[in-house]
Amino acid sequence: MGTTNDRIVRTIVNRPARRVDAVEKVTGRARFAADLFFDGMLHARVLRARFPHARILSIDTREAERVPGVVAVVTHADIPGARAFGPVRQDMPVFAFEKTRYLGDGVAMVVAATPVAAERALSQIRVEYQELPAVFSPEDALAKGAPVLHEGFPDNIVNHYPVRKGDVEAGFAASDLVLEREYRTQFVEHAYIEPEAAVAVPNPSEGSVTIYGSIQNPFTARRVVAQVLGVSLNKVRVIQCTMGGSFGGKDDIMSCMCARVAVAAMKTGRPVKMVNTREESIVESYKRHPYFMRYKVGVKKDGRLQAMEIYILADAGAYASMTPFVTWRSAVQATGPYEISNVKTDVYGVFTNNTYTGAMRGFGSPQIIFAQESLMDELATELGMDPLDLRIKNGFRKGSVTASGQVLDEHKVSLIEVMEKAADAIGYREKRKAYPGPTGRGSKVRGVGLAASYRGVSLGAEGIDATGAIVSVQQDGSVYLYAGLAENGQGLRTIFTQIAAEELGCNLEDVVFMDTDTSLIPDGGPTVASRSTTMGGNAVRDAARKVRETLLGVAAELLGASSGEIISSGGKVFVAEDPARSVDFREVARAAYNRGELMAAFGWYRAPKVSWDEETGQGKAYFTYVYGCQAAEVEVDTETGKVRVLKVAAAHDVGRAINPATVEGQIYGGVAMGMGYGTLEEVEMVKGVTRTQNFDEYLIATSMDVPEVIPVIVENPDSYGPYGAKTIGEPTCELLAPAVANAVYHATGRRIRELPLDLERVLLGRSLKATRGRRGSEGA
Amino acid sequence: MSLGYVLPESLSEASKFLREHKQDARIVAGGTDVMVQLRRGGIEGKGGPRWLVDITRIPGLAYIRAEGDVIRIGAMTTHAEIARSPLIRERSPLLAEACASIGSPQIRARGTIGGNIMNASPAADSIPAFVALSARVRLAGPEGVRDAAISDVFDGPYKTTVQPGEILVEVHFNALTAGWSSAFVKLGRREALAIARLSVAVVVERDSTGRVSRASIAPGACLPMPSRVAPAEAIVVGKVADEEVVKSAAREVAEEMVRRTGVRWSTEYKKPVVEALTRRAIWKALGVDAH
Repeated sequence: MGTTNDRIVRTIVNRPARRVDAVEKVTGRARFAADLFFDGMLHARVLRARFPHARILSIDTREAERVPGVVAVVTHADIPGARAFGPVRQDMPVFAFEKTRYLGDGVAMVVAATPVAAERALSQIRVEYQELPAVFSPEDALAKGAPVLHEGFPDNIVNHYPVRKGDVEAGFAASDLVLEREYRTQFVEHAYIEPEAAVAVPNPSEGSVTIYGSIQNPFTARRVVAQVLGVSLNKVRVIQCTMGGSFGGKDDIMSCMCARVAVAAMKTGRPVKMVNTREESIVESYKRHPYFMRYKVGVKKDGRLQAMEIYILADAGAYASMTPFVTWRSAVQATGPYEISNVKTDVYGVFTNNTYTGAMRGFGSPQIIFAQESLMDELATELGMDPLDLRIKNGFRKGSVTASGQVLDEHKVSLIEVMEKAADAIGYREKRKAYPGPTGRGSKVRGVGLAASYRGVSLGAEGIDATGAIVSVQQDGSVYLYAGLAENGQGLRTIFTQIAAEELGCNLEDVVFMDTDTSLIPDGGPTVASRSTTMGGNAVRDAARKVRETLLGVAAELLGASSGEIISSGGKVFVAEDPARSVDFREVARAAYNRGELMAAFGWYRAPKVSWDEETGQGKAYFTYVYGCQAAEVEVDTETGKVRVLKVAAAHDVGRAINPATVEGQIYGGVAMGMGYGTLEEVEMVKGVTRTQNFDEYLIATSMDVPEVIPVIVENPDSYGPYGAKTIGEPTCELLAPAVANAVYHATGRRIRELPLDLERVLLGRSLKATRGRRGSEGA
Repeated sequence: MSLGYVLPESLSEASKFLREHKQDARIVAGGTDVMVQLRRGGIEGKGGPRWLVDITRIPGLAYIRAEGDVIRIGAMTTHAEIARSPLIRERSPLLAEACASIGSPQIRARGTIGGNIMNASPAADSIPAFVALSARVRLAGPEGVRDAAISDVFDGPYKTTVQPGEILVEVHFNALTAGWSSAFVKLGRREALAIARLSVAVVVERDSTGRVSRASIAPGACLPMPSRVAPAEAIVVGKVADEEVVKSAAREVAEEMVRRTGVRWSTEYKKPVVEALTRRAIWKALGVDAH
C-alpha cells in the first residue's frame, strides 16, 4: 500500500472502457448453455404439478418409459441424496414428493433422445393426486384454520423481523399529524432474455459430474447438486456459461435445474440437457415478492418525523427460498433514509400456494421504497410542504442514526446531495410550480415527482461476506483473471479486468477473464446484493498488487532502480522521476519468468464486521450505504389513464465509478426496469395459475416506452471499496415506481397506492381483472 | 398425431385442399397469429389444426393498386407495405396509421393484411379502418370468386363466415376523395408491441359549407363483431361539428358498446375511454387537434 504506483493518475480505472464481452455478444459468437452439445446427449423435460396444493398418491411412469426415444423417467425416488434444498430452509423439493405446493413444482422428468420425444412422453406419466385446500394470499394464509403448506409451520409464517427503536406510541402522541396508509405491490418476473438452461455431463469413472449452465451463483448450484447427489463438493464442478440476464433470477431455480439434470446424468450415464421454454420459465421461476404494507407516520407541524409504525406481509409463495433475506433487507430499510426516533417495524414472510418468491434486483427494497416514498409525498401534501423540502428536513446526514440504531459516521452521507442533483437535473422545483396539476385544462397533464433511498452495500448481517480472485501473469505479459464472483450481465468482467490492468500496469487487452469454474477458485459466495465491485474488486486488487510487487522487484533490477521509485502503467514499467528509463511490461514478465518468480497471486477480501440483534432489530446492518434519488416527469392522459414517463433524472452515489460508461449503462437499465415495475409489469396469478406466461401478455417496457434518462454519477469515495467504489446495480431499479406515482399525483391529484400504475388503476383508482382468457382481444 | 404442412402453388390447389380438410386445415400467411396459437396449443394440442396450408408460394396475391377510385390490396400484402405505401397514405391515411400501429417492425414485415382480417381478432388494428372505409373482401373458392362486405365476414371473436375452401384474396374500398378525411386512434398499454386496448376509426365527408355529409365510425376492441355505429354517425351527419355534437356522438358509441356487450368486467373502464377516444378520433378526422 502507498507505493508510488498508488499516487499516479489512474489510466484505466475511473475511465469509461468498452465492455470486454461486448463484441462476442453483439456478433452472436457468445455461447450460451442452450448452444452446448455433447456426444450422446439426452434431453429432459419436466412434468409440473396439476394442482397448486395436493397430496401425491402415486406416480406411474411405465407408459412414459415405453414412448420411443425415452431413456429414463426420473422422479424423487431416483435421488440418491437430499430430496429438498434451499438457502435458508431446505424445503423445496427437486422433484415433488408427498405434496405439491404450487403449479411450478416438478413432479417427474422425462429424459429422451430428443426434446420432442421427451415432450410426448410427459402426457403418458400418470400421477394420482388428492387435492388439498389451497391458499393464495398472505392474509388468507394467516387466518385461523388456513391450509398449512409445510410441516412445522402451522401458522404459515416463514419469518418475522421486528425492528424496535424508541417508543412509537409516545412519538404518535407527540405528533401534530398522524397518517395511516396502505400500499400494495405485485408479482413481477425477472424477464431475463435467456430462459433457464443447463447441461450435466457425468464422469462415471470418478463418480463426478460437470455442469454447464446459465447459473447466477455457481457455488450455490454446486452445493445443492452435491447434497442432492449425496457426494462431496469436489465431485461436482460447475462452469458458468455466458448469461443472457439474471437480475437475481437464476439462483434457486438454476440450483434445482442443475440438480435435476445431474440426477438424470448419473442415472443414465449420459450428458443431459434441459432448456426451459419461456412459458415454463415464467410458470416455474420465482418472482419478486408482492407486499402488503401498512404505514403509520406521526409528524410535527413543521414536518419533523416523530414516529413510524410499519406492518408488512410478503407473499413468499410455496417455499422459503430467499424470503428470510429479502424481508430482512426490507426490515432494515423500511423507514427510508429519514431520521425517526421512534420506529416499530414488523415484516412477515408468509407461505401461500402461489409461485414462490425470491431474489430479484432490489431484493426487498422496491416494495418498501414504493410505500415509504409515496408516503413522504402524501405527508408533504397534508402538511402543505414541498415533498423535496420534507425529505431534506428529515433526511439522513453525517452522524444520523438509522432505524436499527446504526450511526452513519464511516462514510459520506450524500442523501441530500443526490436529491438536489436529481432535482436540478430534471428542473424539479421549476416544474413543481409551472405545472398546474389537476386544475389544468386539457386531458394531457404533466407532473414531476421524485423518490430517494439509502441502501446497504453487499450482504450485511445476512451472512458470510468474503470473496477471492486469482491473477496469473504469463511469461509474455498476458494475464489470466479468475474470480469467485460471476458475470451475470452486469459488467463484472469489465470492472475486474480494469482493476487488474490498472494495478498491474498492463493494458486492458492483455487481461483475459476466465469463466467462473468452481474447480478453479475458492467459494467466494454468491454474486448478489450488488457486492461484486466492492467485494470482488477488492479481491482482484489484492491479487494484482501481490503480483505487481514481484514484477516491480524484477523491473527494479532491470532498470537499476529501487522498486519504490518505479511505476507500472499502460504496458510500460518506468522510473517515476525519469520515464525514459523504461521497460515493456512484457519484458518484465519474461524476465520474471526466467528467474523462476511466482507470477500469480491469490487475492481475498472479507467484509468489515457487521451485527444484528434478531429480537430488537438493532445493529450495524451493513458496513456502508449508498444513496440515490430518481426524479421523473410524466404526462398523464386523464381520459384513458395512460401514463407516459417523459424524462428521468437518476442521481446515484457510487463511491467511485470504476467505469463511468457501465455505471451509466446500469442506470439506463435500472430505470427501464423500474419503469416496467411502476407502470406495466404484473404477473397475474389467479388461484395459483399464472395467466401471463409469455411476453405478449407480460408487458415489459420497450425501447419506445423508455424515457430520456439523465444519469448523474455522484462520487464520494468510500473507505472500504476499491478506489472508493461502492454499488450501482440494485439502487437503479428501486426508485422509479414511487417517483412516477408521485409525479402522477402532482399531475392529476390521483394517488395510486398499488402497482403497477396501469390504465385502469390510473383512471379508476383500482385494478380491473379479466375473469377469463384475454389473449388478442383482452377479453373485449 | 402430427401436424402436416402443404405448400400449394395455386389458388385452386389450395382451395381444393382446404375444402377436403375443412376444420383440420389452417391457412398460414405471415404466421404471426398462427404460430403463436400453435405454440399455446402445443404441438399436439387438441382442437388445433392437423394441416398448415402455406399460401406464400401462390403468386399474385401481394399488391396495392388503384383502379379509378377503387383501391385494391392483395391479401398477402404486409402491414409494413401498406403503412409505407404512398397511395394508402394519401388516399386512405387511417389504414396506413392502423397498419403502422401493429406490433413491431418484425411483425409488420411478416404479418399480412389477409391474415389480420381472417384471424378475426376483435382487437385487430386494420379491421376498424376497413369497416370505416366500408371495404369489401374478395374470396376465391371452389365455386369461383365472390365479394362480400367486410362486416359480413365476421361471425364473432375469432370466427368468420368464410366457407371451407374459400381463401381471402383481396380487400378493396373506395379511396377517400376531395371532401373526405379520416382518423385512426389506438390506445395500447405501451408504445410498441401493444394489442389495442381500444381503437376507433373514423371517416367523414364534409360538403362545401363544412357540414358533415357522411360519416363512418367504427370502434375496435370493444364490439363482439366489428361494425359501424349508425346511431352515432346519424348524430354527426347533417351538422357542422361542434363540441356538443361530437360529444354526443362519442357518448352514443359508448352506449352502443354497452348495448351490444352488456356490462362486463372491463365496461367500467372501456365505456368512458371509448367515448373519449371516439371524440378524439372525430376531431382528428376533422383536422382539429383536441387530444
